[in-house]
Parts: sequence; structure tokens; C-alpha cells
Amino acid sequence: MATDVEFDPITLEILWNRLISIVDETGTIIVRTSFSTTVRESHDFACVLLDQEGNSLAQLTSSIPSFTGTLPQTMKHFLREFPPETWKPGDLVFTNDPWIGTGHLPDFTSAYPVFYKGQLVAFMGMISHVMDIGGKLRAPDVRELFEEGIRLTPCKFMSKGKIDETLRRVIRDNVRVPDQVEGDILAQVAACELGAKRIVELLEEHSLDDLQGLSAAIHRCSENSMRAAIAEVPDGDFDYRLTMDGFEEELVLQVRVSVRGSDIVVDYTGTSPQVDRGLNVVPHYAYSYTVFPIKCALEPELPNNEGCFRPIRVTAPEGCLVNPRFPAAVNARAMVGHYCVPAVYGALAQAIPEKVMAASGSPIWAVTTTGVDKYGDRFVSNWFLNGGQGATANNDGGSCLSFPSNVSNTSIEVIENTAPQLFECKEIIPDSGGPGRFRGGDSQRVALCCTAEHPVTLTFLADRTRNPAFGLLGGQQGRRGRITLNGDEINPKKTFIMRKGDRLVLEVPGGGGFGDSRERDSALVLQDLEDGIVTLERAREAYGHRS
Amino acid sequence: MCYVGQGFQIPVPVPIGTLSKESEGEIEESFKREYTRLFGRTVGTVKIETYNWRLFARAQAPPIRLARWAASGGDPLKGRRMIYLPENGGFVEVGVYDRYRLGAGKQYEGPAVVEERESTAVVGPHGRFFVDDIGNLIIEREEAG
Repeated sequence: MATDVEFDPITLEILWNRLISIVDETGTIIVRTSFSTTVRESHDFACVLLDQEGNSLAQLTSSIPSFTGTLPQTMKHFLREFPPETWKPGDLVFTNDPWIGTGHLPDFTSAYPVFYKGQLVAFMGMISHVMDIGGKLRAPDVRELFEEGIRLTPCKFMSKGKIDETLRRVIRDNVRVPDQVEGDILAQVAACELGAKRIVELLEEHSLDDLQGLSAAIHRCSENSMRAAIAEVPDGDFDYRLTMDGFEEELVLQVRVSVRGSDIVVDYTGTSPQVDRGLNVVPHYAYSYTVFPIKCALEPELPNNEGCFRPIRVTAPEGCLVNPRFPAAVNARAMVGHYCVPAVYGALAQAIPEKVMAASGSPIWAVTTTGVDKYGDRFVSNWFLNGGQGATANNDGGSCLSFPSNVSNTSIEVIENTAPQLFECKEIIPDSGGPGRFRGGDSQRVALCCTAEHPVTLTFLADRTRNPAFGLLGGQQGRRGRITLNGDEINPKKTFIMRKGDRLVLEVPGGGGFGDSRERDSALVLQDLEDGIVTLERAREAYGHRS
Repeated sequence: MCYVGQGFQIPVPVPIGTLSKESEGEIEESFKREYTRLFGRTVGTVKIETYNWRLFARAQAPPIRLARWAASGGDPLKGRRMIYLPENGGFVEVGVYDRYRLGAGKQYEGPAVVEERESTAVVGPHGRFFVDDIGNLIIEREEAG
């Protein structure tokens, strides 16, 4: 039987790395042929190789963690609707349904079958965040899903290599930038086709009939590793509760992490009920940002695949913020979903403090604008800013490197080329990182002015303007976030109009500190002072610096 | 070349000859062929743009004839000067020559200074120099002991 194929450790390692390398290569196709800067500049996409049962085997090294957690679940849904025997070479099934996919409409999740000697052996999976999906420009002030844009439940975009013209037209007719959106989907097709070709080459070179044996070996080895790591965590129930800015009223995320032997169950009972704003988080997304931090804490070096996550189960009561009922609004789900990470770490800090991270200045911030450019063409611009990373037991938090999202800051040159915005500054905010034995990561201030001849619509993804990133084990919180438009602080959950000459300033939140700041190495304090990361006043007050 | 909005350009062969508005169709076809070869298919109705144009040219190198050197009239030695020579450990008086007046083939001994419009050559105590029949200043240095 194919799963009995044995691999010696060297061969397993070589083949496993080759699978990762193949997926990384498909990632370069996505970057090269995608249109949205969200994908090609900020890397808001993922590529995952799945086995014939839809279990993840290898993922793109620079993937977005949420996507690598959702894709395998989406794939299993695809297989229920399109059983294995119904797939043909050259088919592509996709969806952007939030509950089946990644949690909001702009993300297209695609799957493409890999055939070898007439047999289905694997699936190439892709997710990209397209520039626009119709509906209201993304902002959390929507009331229900139908306002957010067009939704496509799983369907065949491509059948035996031929694109479904009706589907293509339906998408093009309902988005603001049809060429870009179609281009981004075609980028996924090109990447899938390349991935399939490389898998076939691998099978031929190594005289394998399929990936079943390799898949079993990878999953078995990964699950065992993960279980061994979990077994070292003290058994118990660890609770944590945190508040988030919400829309007008603050929201609560309540988590219980239960460790029993080599199993972990994470439950979100006590979390606020779902809201009639775009802040709801579908289960797939909450799952991703629950398992990912646990893996990062316990087995960071192990390449992500299905085996790693088998020992972890995530539950949440139906109708709560992290298990909402259709048609809940979801477009800003990251504003709640990213909080799963500090919640889990807040709980685990009680059991394994040396392995967790203080809260980061996340969720990731985004600025979205739409309008008409100087050539009279419609544009949509979507760019990102990271806040400071949380500190750990051994390290300061990274500067402007908020965890967990893995989406890059968009560079100014790219933004100024795609939107009528002129930047005045992009600078580190001194004292933004929470004090601690290890300091929270510092964050950035960005100021720009609008140069558009016609008014543009402006929306944000931003949080932590009321709830700064908390510290751990005596570490202090980071600086809160702040956005001003023409000098007045605004609630970033709403929609705005920006006119020529209007000035926008964004101050992203800093990361939380770890440990008592009075224990910080004085050489590090001096270095921070010299680098301008920390002011003299802060150095004296928080770190006991004597000049 | 790439589609407007993408961030990565692919090299595309363009037709040889004078390019004009009429060449656009051919260039576009060439781009589509290359794009399809790399990425499987083309993208709808998006405009195409070019970032860089490269021309590779190869030709027969023409034979070059160099003019024979003709020194201008007058004494090439135009003066004497004290210069510092590290080999001698101090200042030494040397002859200063006008390069354009040096006759082809005639040898001179260093140390010396040879002046011309754009530059000055300093010949050390172990050198000797001459101008060859096509005007190159040749300095030969005997190996120091």
C-alpha cells in the first residue's frame, strides 16, 4: 500500500524541502503576475500544496498565517462539493465565501488538481487578496455581508483549461477594477499550473507513483513532534480576557486554553456576541490565529503542515464574535481575529512564560482609498502599516514588525504611484514600545496629504486606539494608536471623504514589554537612547537610567 | 514589458528595423507569445507597457589607420625644475619636456617631466622614454637593483 512507503530521514528531509521549494516557486509567479499591490508588494497571499485528501503538506515560506490555516479547511469543503472523481486536469475551483474561505470577500481561495499517470495525486492551493470585490469600500461600518460585495460559493472557474466566460463576466461587471481582479485570479492559475508541473517532475525523478507515502511520513513526524512539545507544557486550564476597541463599544475576547497531556483545546466561551458591524470572525480564521501562535511558541522550526495542528482543537459558541451566523458582516475581521494571538499568549504566559510574546501593536493597519486618478481612470489603493512587535523573555520586540500578520509595510514609492497621496514623513515614534526588561517594539508615524483633484473615499483597518498592546510579567503596555485628519482625531472604523490638501497622520500602536523595565541591561538602554528609540525622560523614569 | 499594473517585466523580442505606430501590433503579438510561454495565458484587455529597450548590435570592426607622428618644431626641452624624488630621498633638478616637440624614436633619459595639454608624466631616475612613430609616449623602466 502506498502509505507503507518508508523514507530514511535524509530522503524525507530532501523531499520535504523540495516540496517547500516548489511552493515557494509558485509564490514568485504570484508576485510577478499579480496586479494588486496588496499581493505583489505586501505579500497578502498564500500558496499551499495539499495531498489528495486536502491535507496541507507544504506552504509558501512567506505566507500569511491565517491563509495557511484556512486553505486546508476550504479544500475539504471543496472535496465535499466536488468529490475527487469529479476533478479533471485543468480544472480550477474557487470561492470567496467568508465561511468556506478566509473570512472576507476580497480573498479568493483556489484549488487546482495535480494528476500523474492519470491519477489525482495532490492539489495546488492559492489565496490572494484582490484589490476590489464590489460593495461598499471596505470599512467596518457595514451592517451585513450583502453590503460588502459579490460572493461566489465554490464553483469551477476553469474546466479542463477553459475559463468559464459567464463567471468571468459576472466578476468583471461587479468590481471597480475588473482588469486587476481578473489579472490576479489568472496569476493564481499560472502559479497552480507551474506547481503541478514541478510535482510531476518530482514524482518522476524519485520513481514515486503518488505523494501518499510522503504525506503520511510528513504528517506523522510533525504530529509526533508537536505532541512531544505539548506534553512538556504543564496540564491545566489557563484563562485570559482582553478588550478590543470595537466599533463604538468595546468588545471582549475571552479564551480558555486547556492542556491535557499532548492535546490542547482552546475555547472562546465568554467572548462578546457577534456584532452588526464588519468585525465578525468566521471560525476558520479564529482557528488559524489560535493554532499558529501555539505552534510558534512550542515548535517554531517545524515547517507548517496539517500534522502540526492535529493535537489542537478550537471551539466557540455559535453566535459569538468568533463564530458568527450568516450573513454577519466580516470585512474587517482582522481587527478582532489578530487579538486571538495575544489572548492565547496571555493564557499560556501562566504556564510557559519563557515561550510567549507580549501583545504586538497589531492588528495590522490598512488604508484604503478609491476615486478617480489624474488620467480619469478609477483607482483603488490599499496599503499597510505595521506597529511594534511584542517583546519576549529573551528579545526586544521588532520595530514596525507587528505579529502575527506577516503582511509587509507598503513602500511609499509604490503608494504614491498608485494613489493621489503625497507623503510628508515616515518615522519611528520614540517611546512607542512598552518598557520592560525587554522592550516592546517601536512603531511608526506616517503623514500624508491628498493631491487628488476629485474627492476620494477613505477607509481604514485600525485598532488599539483605545486598547494599547499589553505587556507580560511586569512589562508595560505600548503606546496607543492614533489617526488624525486635518488635526482632529477620528474613529478609524468609519468612512471618510478626503479632498485635495487634506492631511492625514497615522500613528501605529507600539508593542508591549516583557519583564520589569528596571532589570533592563543598561547598555541596551544606552543604545536605545543613542538610536532615538527612547527619550531621556523615559530612560530615567522607566529604566532608572542615570546620565 | 508587462501589463500596466504588474510589478515584473519580461524580456520580449521586438521587430528589427524602424519602429513606428504600425509596429505596435507586432510588438503586442510578440509580448503575448512570450507571456503565454511563461505564464500560460494572456490577460484580457489590459494595456501593455515597456520599461526598457535594448539593442544588441554586431558589426565588422573597420580597419583603423593611425596617422604618423609629426613633432612640432622647436627644442623639446623647455626648462628645468626641482622635483622631489622618493628614490633619491630629496629634491633633484630635472629637464621639463614638451611632448608635442619630441621627435619620433629619439630616446631620452630620466629623471624628467613630460608636459602636455591634459596631463603631466613624471619619469623616475630608472626610466627612459621616447615617442613612437604613431605618437605614443613610451616609458621603459630598468629594474631597480
